[in-house]
Amino acid sequence: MTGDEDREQVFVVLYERHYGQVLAYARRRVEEAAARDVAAETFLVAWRRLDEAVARGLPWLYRTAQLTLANRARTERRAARTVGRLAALPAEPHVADPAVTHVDRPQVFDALRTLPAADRELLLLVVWEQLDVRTAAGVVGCSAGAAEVRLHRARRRLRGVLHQPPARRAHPDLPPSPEMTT
Amino acid sequence: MTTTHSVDSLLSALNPIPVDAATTDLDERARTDLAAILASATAADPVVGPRRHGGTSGRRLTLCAAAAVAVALVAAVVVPNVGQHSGVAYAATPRPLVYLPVATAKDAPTLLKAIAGRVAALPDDIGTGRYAHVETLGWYLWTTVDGERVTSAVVPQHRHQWVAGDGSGRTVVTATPPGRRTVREDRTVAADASSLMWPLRSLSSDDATLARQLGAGHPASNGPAERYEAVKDAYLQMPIPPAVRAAMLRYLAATPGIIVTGNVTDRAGRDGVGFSLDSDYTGLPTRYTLIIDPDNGALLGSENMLTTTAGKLNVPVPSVIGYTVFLSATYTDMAN
Repeated sequence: MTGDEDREQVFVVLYERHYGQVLAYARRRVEEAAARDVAAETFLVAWRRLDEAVARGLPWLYRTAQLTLANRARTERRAARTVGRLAALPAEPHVADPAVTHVDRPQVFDALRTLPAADRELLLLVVWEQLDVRTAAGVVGCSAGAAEVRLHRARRRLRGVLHQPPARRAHPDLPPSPEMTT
Repeated sequence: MTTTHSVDSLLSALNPIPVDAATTDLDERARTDLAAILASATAADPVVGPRRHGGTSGRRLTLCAAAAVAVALVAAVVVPNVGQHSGVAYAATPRPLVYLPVATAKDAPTLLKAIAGRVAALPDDIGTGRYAHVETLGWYLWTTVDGERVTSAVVPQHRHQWVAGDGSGRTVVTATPPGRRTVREDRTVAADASSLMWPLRSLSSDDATLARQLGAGHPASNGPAERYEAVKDAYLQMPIPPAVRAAMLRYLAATPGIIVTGNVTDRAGRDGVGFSLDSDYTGLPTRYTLIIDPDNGALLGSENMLTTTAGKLNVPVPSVIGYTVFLSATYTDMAN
């Protein structure tokens, strides 16, 4: 077997193992067609930097997908569409949860958008991709300690929004709650 | 309920793609993407990150525009896949062209310069008018149609492009998948909506000036095949007058590794001479061939063919993986 064949086999294993996760990551953040392209671009980078991709695994792939998304948003002026994806999430949640019935879902995504990008990404990596804090910190590029602080801040901000009375939340002229400004 | 639990459980419930719903099996798109990646460059060429060459942005924009047309064409061009093998989709490919030995056993640079010498003084044959009209027929293994890659049938795209100096113009692309109606996309763009790689009629017949113009967006550091790309891009954008065609042939003559492939009848039935370059810088050993009309020096077509291995593509070797036939190019006042 040649070195090239070895390399291909290693890549195919990496691809088969993680394609679904990378695609899901992208689909949670952009529309389906763009998500497919992001997944392909992510693995193209992995193919070209195979040693690095294999050594660092899924977190590296997430990080690469994140950069790919950022590049697309920047270079193709798709930032609005990318952010819009959060607002265009399914009207009905996939998982029945009593907590969900007591809040306005658009309000949750509005609240998410108020978070600093790195904080939001950390929170979603932990909740949606189910990464542990240390791994999520590696994806975002901060220390585990900093990630803990950011996560705490992000959750507190979201809770501040979710616990506001609906009437006040719905009023566009009202200032954000004190918690929102911390 | 703690803050962590309430917020996390709420967000988790709103996860558009629940963790247990993330697909684990590779579908058709995933497999074709895999094959494409394996066939691509292996060198460290950062897709994510700073560009290596600032001068390529114009070219990339143009390529993106072309890709957008290909994608926009779609809708009805999806062709059902006919089969799979070892988890990788089959890809139908066009027949390779047949090249016959050239009677005069000249090397490629000598032959190209000889053609250039005949062409330089020919009368102008590109017409006049507001629009640069270029008509091509093209097929590419990676043509994306409605988010899917067409892999089971060779469906060339017939393309008319009219571009004015201010970037305004019109593009009409048609394709006829087997057993289906012809699909047509007709798009008109306003001024400045598209970027020209070079201003119309701006390419020089002076060798040094032309090399600088072509090299600006196609840096030599990308390898010898970049010269081929530069010439193709120029022909894709506008009609090229004889004197500039001659200079382009001299530009090609300086391509390291260029060889004479032979006399050939192109896909439009025209006689030409093939000049090839073997390179694996895109990942798999590929032969890039430009077909030149020996009488008027015009580029008739380009062919890309895998030579020694197809990687995971499951296409025969040799296999044509893309071609462009340059059917006509003139200036005109009407975009139709």
